This record gives sequence, structure tokens and C-alpha cells, in this order.
Amino acid sequence: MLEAVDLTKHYKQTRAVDGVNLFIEKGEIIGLLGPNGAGKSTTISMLSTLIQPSSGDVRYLNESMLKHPQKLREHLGVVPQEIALYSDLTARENLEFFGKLYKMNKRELTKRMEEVFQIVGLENKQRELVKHFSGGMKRRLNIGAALLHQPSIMFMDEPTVGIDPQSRSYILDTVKQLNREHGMTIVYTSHYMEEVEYLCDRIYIMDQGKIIASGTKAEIKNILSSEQTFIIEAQSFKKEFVERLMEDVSVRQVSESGNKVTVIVPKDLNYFQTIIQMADETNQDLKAVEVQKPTLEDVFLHLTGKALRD
Amino acid sequence: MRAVLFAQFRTLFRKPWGFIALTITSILFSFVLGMDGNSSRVIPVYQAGDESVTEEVLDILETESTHQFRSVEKSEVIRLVKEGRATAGLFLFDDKFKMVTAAENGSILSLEQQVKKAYAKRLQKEKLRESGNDQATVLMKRLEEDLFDVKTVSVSSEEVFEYDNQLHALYGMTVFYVIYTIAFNVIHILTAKQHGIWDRMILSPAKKWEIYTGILSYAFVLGYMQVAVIFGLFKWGLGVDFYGGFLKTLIVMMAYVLAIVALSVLIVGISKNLPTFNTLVPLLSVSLAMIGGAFWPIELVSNKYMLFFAKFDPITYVLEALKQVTLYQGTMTDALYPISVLLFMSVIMMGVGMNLMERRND
Repeated sequence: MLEAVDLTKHYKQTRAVDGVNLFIEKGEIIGLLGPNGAGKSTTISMLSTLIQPSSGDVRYLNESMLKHPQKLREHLGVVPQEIALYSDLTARENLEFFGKLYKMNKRELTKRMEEVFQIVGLENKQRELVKHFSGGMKRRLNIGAALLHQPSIMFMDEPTVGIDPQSRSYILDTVKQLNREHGMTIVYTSHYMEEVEYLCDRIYIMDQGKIIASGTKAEIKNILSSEQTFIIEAQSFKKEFVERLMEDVSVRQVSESGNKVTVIVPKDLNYFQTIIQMADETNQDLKAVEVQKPTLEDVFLHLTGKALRD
Repeated sequence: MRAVLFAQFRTLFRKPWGFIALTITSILFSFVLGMDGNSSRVIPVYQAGDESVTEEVLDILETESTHQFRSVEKSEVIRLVKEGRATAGLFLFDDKFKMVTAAENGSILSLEQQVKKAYAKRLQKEKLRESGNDQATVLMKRLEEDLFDVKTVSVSSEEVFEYDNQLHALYGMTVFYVIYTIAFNVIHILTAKQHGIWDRMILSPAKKWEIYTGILSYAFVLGYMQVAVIFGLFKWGLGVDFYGGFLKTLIVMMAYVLAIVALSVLIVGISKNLPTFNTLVPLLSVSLAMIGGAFWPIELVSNKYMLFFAKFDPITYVLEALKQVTLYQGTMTDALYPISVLLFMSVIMMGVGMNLMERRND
């Protein structure tokens, strides 16, 4: 339904997005994962026709949208990372403003506002000023403003940043509900792996402006199917122990974080014994050694060499 | 456009204090500076020469000068000027005069010219009286009725200029403060872009020109409203004399407000973000006001660089147009040149500003 074909965007010397290809089918939720500066927001801006790509194309129903974006825009709802609302207006006045932009008549607008307030759970807060809202309420209204004109495709750029767990869970349920009950196609970008795991049918992983992996959750996790992850826990780690792990040629990756060391090794290797042996030889006391199933976070770490929230 | 205006006016009703504060500040400064000028317009005079001669000079001055004169003792003249209660004092002799001032300004130059003219006129009258024939009587009569046509010259001329301190303070402060009112509403383009509201507007069926028109027409209306309120208050509330050109000043101000809207668009185009915009606005407004003659008459400026830059300053032209239609009691045609320059500036600044903004979007 919607495709990015070789999308590239460069600003002077910087390549923000470098030859991105992706497709979105009707009714699915797509996750766009990547650390800060990976090019997710720029990709979304180009897909939603807000900025022109330096090269490449955005195709909607097999038609290029670069010259005549209106056809796509009328089906599009965008929830930006920022709170794109007037803080000195009430929630209702904000929706009225966006309704007027979409040239909705008064009756239609009133009806639609009630529906939207219900979807985002702000029925009782309609007449309150947005500046008095909590972070979570603002985020919900931010989504509401994008829903007003009943779009069939929704781009959500990190819609849960900086809010309490309760509001976050409410937003995730709302996104699921919009997809299930209204058949809405959603492109969801996030830093939070668990959100993407919970919501998305397919995932694109971006780093340094490029798509470095894509597929269903299972397909992505299969990238690590040839590997196994050990989490080693100790009160503190001796330098010699960590160095021994790093020097071992069979180890693919070692990362230390606080009182835990994560080691990725080939799956067919019985590495548990090796870890115990290394600990003995270096007088390293261990609290626990755990073999972990690969998560998306592990895949991300494996692909980019950095944690998602770096 | 309707939607944009709706949001803007709702925000204004909810937070009107910025607009009110700027309007009040403008009124206060116009009032204080204008009033100061009034009190110092009375010139203390000591008649040092023959009373009949100096009385005649004083009569001519009172009829023809824009100042008021009051005869006082010699020491009183010095005291009033020293204390700053009079901008100048006069010592009138039979065939010469002395002027004492605390500082040189346009008003003093104008006064000096007027006193010289009064002495010349008295001398002419005396000569005609001495000749004593019929032709002289006719000439005397015509002299009383003004022998020559007096032409008031434009402010751009280097000749003597007319000056009304009260009006100048009013015009100067109004055109200065309205820059803030307008600029801090045009800034909405920048804030909407930073907060993502702009993207939402662009994705809606609203055309880009409708969005721009909505924001800019709101800034125009608000700026113009401020000007109209201030001028109206000074005319009907404080009885300031607009020399019959009140409505014409409102027409002139339309061109100026438009030019300032365009200037604000240019500043938005240049600024990458809000802090830059917030730095540029006061910097530019104060510079423009100083160069354009909002704080003091431009006729007093002799620095050639300042006069050169004044040619590119909308304030120079609005003040010229305002003086033409009030102080010089000219018609709208007389103010056509400065108004045309303001409109030309508006087109250029708006064009360049829009271009810069759109380029930044990409």
C-alpha cells in the first residue's frame, strides 16, 4: 500500500537517511526501531510527505506521492514526537482548531470530538487547558488530534516518551484497539523494545540512516538463532576475568554493565563450563550464570553494537 | 485561514497581557515624552533693548512662531533654562538677540530661525513706516498679511523644519513598540514549526498560503489595533492636535504595519530558532528606531552613515508620511512617496523572508 523506494536525505555533508526501502501493507502495525540519530524521524517525515527526499520515491497505491502528496495526506494522521498542541487552549478548543483545518462542519466536528475524547479517555477533561494536563494526558490528546479526521494510516513517532507507566499502557492499548477495531495501518517508532514487541507485526531496524534488518518478530529473533546469550552476575568483576572472556576467540560479543556481563557465543558451544573454569582460574566469585533466549534488544545489540537507548 | 485565526484570537483572549502591556508602555512613553516637550515650549524672554522695539519683535514672534513666549526678569531666564524648565531663553535687544540654551536640538534651530525672521520683519516695517508714502502703507498692509507665501518644507530638506514634540513622541513611541507586538505574533510561525503544529497544518487540506495569511493577517490586525487605540486615545482622550490629519495618519499606518509584518517574516526567515529570533527583534527594533528618527527628529542627525542607513529604514518613511499629513497639513498625495517606499519594502522583505523560510523547510 505504502512504499519507500531508495529514500535518501542528506543535509550538506550528513546523510540522515541512506537508501531506505520499506513497505507497509494495509492493516498492519510496523515498528521502526533505532537509536537516536538513526534517521527514523526523517524517514517518517519523508513517508508522510512533509519533507522532500534528496532522492528516491514515496509510493502510495503504486503512485508517486512526491509531486501530488494530497492523495496520501488525506488518509494520513501523524502523531509527532513533540506535543503539537496549543497549551493555552483547552483540549476541546485544540480539537476544534484541527477540525476546522480539515474543514469539518460543526455537527460532524462535535460528533467526532466526542468519539475522539472517548478513544483517548479524556471525556472529562475537554474544557481544561492543555498546559494543566499531565504528560500522559497531553500525549493522549496529541494522538486524539491526529485521529480527528479518521485517517486510515497513522504515523506515531515515539508517542510514549516521558510518561508514566499507566498512561503508557493506556496508549499502547489504544494503538492496538485502533488497529484491531478500525483496521488502521500504523507505523510506530520507539526506543522501547517491549512496546514494539507488544504492538508490531513487522519490524524495521535502522542505524546510521540505513535499514539494517527487517522482518517479523520471529524472523528478526532468528538472526540470533545461531547464537546463545549468557548473563553472568557477580558482586564485582575482576579485570582479568572480563579480559579472558574478551580474548576468547569463540566469543562473538562481550558487554559489561554494572554487576552483569553479557556474553554472546555460537549456539553449539557448551560455554557454561568454560565460564566456570575461567572464574576459577581468575578467582572470580560468581553469583549466577543464566542462559537467555534472544530478545529484540539482543538482536539490536548484535546488529548495531550498541544498546537501543544509547 | 479561519482555523488559524480562531486559534490565535482564542490564545489572545486567554493571554492578553503581552498585548496590553505593550500598548500601555507605548502610551506612557508617548505621554511622558510628549508632555515634557509641551512644558518646555514656553520660552522665557528678557526685553533688554528699547521696550517698543522688543515688544514689536515679541508680537511678531507670538503671531508667527510655533513657540509661546513669556516676558520675565533677566535672572529668571537663566534660572529656567538651567533647571531644564525651558529649552531656551531669549534676550531681545534693539537690533540683535541672544539665545541661551542647555543643549542644541531641532527645536532650538527652529526657534533661532523664527527670531531672525521676526527681527527682519520688524526692520522691514520700520523702513516702510519711515518712507511714509501711500505705496508704503499698502506694502505695510500686505506685510501684515504676509508678503510672501510661506512654504513648509519636507523633512528630507536641509532647510528649517517644523517640529511638534508631542506628536513626534506619540509617533516615535507608537511605531517603535508596535514592532514588538507584530514580531511576537509573527513568531507563531516559528513556534508552530518547533512544536510540530506546523506539520499538522501542512498535512491538512489547508493550503500553505492560507496558513501564512492566517498568521500574518492576525499579526497585522493586532498591530494596527494597537496603533488605532493609541492614536484614538491621544486624539479624543488627551486632545492632541493632529492638524486635521487624524484619518490620514491611520491610512499611513496601514502601510507601516504591513512593512513591519514583512520585516518580522524576514527575521523569522533569518532565525534558525526562537532564541535567535528573540535576540534579533530587540536588536533590530532599537536600531531601526534610532536610525529612523523615532527617538529624536532625524533632521538633527548629521552623521552621513546614519543618514545613509535611514534610507533603508521603514521608520524614516512612516515618520515622514505622518508629518506630511499632520504637521505640514499635506494631502495623501504628498505622502505618496514615503507610503510607496513602505509598500515596496514590504514586498521585498516578505518575498525574501518567505523564500528563506521555505528553503529551511526543505
